[in-house]
Amino acid sequence: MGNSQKGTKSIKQEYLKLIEKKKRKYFKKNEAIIFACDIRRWKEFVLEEILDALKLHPDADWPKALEKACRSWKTVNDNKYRSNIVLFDYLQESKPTSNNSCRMRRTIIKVPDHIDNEQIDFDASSIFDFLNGHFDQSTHFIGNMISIFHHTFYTKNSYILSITPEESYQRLTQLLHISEDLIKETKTFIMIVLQTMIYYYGGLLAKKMQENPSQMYDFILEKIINEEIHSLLLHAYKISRPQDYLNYTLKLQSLENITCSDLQIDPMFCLDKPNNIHFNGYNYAIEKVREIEMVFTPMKKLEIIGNTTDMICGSVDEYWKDMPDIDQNKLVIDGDNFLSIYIYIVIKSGVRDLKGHIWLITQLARSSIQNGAMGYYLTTLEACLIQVETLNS
Amino acid sequence: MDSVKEFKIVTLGEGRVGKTSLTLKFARNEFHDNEISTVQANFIQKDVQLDGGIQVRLNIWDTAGQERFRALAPNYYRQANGAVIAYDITDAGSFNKVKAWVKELQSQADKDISIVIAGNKCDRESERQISAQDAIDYANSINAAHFNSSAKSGKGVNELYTEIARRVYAVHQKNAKANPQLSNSRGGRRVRVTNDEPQKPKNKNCC
Repeated sequence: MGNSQKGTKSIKQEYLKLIEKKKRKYFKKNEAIIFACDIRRWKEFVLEEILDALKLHPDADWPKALEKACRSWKTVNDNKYRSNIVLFDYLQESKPTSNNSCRMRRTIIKVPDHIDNEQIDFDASSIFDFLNGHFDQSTHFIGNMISIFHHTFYTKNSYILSITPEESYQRLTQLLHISEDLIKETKTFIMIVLQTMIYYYGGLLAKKMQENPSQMYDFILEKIINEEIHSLLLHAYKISRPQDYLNYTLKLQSLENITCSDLQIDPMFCLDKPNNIHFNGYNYAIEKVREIEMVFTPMKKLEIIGNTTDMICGSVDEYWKDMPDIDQNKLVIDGDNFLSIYIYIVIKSGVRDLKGHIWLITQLARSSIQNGAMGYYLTTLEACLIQVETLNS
Repeated sequence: MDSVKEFKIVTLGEGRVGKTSLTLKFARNEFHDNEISTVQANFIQKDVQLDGGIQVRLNIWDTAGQERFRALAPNYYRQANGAVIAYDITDAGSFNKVKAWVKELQSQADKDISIVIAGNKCDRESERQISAQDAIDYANSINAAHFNSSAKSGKGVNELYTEIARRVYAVHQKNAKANPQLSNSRGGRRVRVTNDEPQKPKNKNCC
């Protein structure tokens, strides 16, 4: 062995010693959090949660399927996900504070080929980015739980999709509580997943959840409420209240030719003047409301409602942009005009399931949004629907 | 460090008494007139500094005042911590509506809701139809505060919002003392992060 090789080896050893010291320091500092719960018994704890769900929903298939899967689950493959969260947190803490992205390391650990060629990205900017990759893996317990829920919940309840609101009249007593039952099951499952996250990943994740509970809730919801679950819940709402749905549909049809002035909107905001052929009116906002049907989670639906509000202002700006002398005080949209414009947009959007979408948001969105801007726009949308039902064509 | 406490404040009052203008005047410093033409003034968020360096955030919800939207008001004031009820001092009818709003809030809103009454358009003192003393007496009788305000001149605007902030914060503090930290009611098996001595597993499976 030459001198240069000996030198390299010695530098490497020094470096490894340094890293080991840093790891020990990190571990000592976070020991209490990491072991806040007995992470060895995670499967046992999760099973207890599933058994509770089984008692709550004895007729549902998914708790039974989860119980079976949990009992037979081999935990060996989960260790890499679970221990890596500590490693990820350690790397996050040891990252240099400089924002110079050119100097940032990108460490990707590539698991050997025989384990499904999985990659774990330690360069994720947040815990959520880091966890994101876990859930798509078949060897990840929670990812697998969610797949089982998707499959069994949909299979058991997909029969309702063939029932039209008209048909549901004849089966009203049977279907009256279907939406409440399905949403209850979904909420139970969401809570199981949140709790499982803590058992599975340990106190470190519990701490992250405590620091940012809403972000974790939204993250889990993104995983659970997929297109199929969304369509089931929405349809369940529709057929459990067929009269509401059919009345609203008829009302939308009867009001399809309504104008801004019919709704007593201030002339400054009546953008639907027929002589203005070059102008789009509130069409962008109307299109935006329609997008609510294409997204599944409450937060995404709320984002659309928020964007619609921005588009209302944008449309008014666009309309008056060539009139620089306009008195800006007249372009303040007060509560009465805002609500009236929203009613106009809601009617013109023709979204028949809007009540169902609002129901989904109110059932599943976290309560902390209620008093903020999102809560205000949601309340306005609810108020619109109440008002639309009382309007005469 | 504690995060800033947020409170929901709803603005009520008959149509055309100047509710939106009041809110807008209060928040005006945050607007940049050159960048915004259309102002959507229905939801405003503004921080207020209270005595002792306490900062609270007000989420101010504007409402429709026209009679045709009257039935929708409960949707807006549910879970509100405070209400600013505005009337026009030159319109006696609008003051009678204040009394109706107060009755409704007392029976249907949160029992702890704080109320501030704003006698707006006080820049038109010569046209006053409601005696300032009568309005103050009424406010005192319902444990509310009363301010003469003008969205035009700005008189009383900051004062009335600071007062509602002070009141909602006081209620919050009182309730927090009455109901200290709720314990975890979800069962012993479930996990809480505490500063207690950890129970170490035998095999540390960690970095």
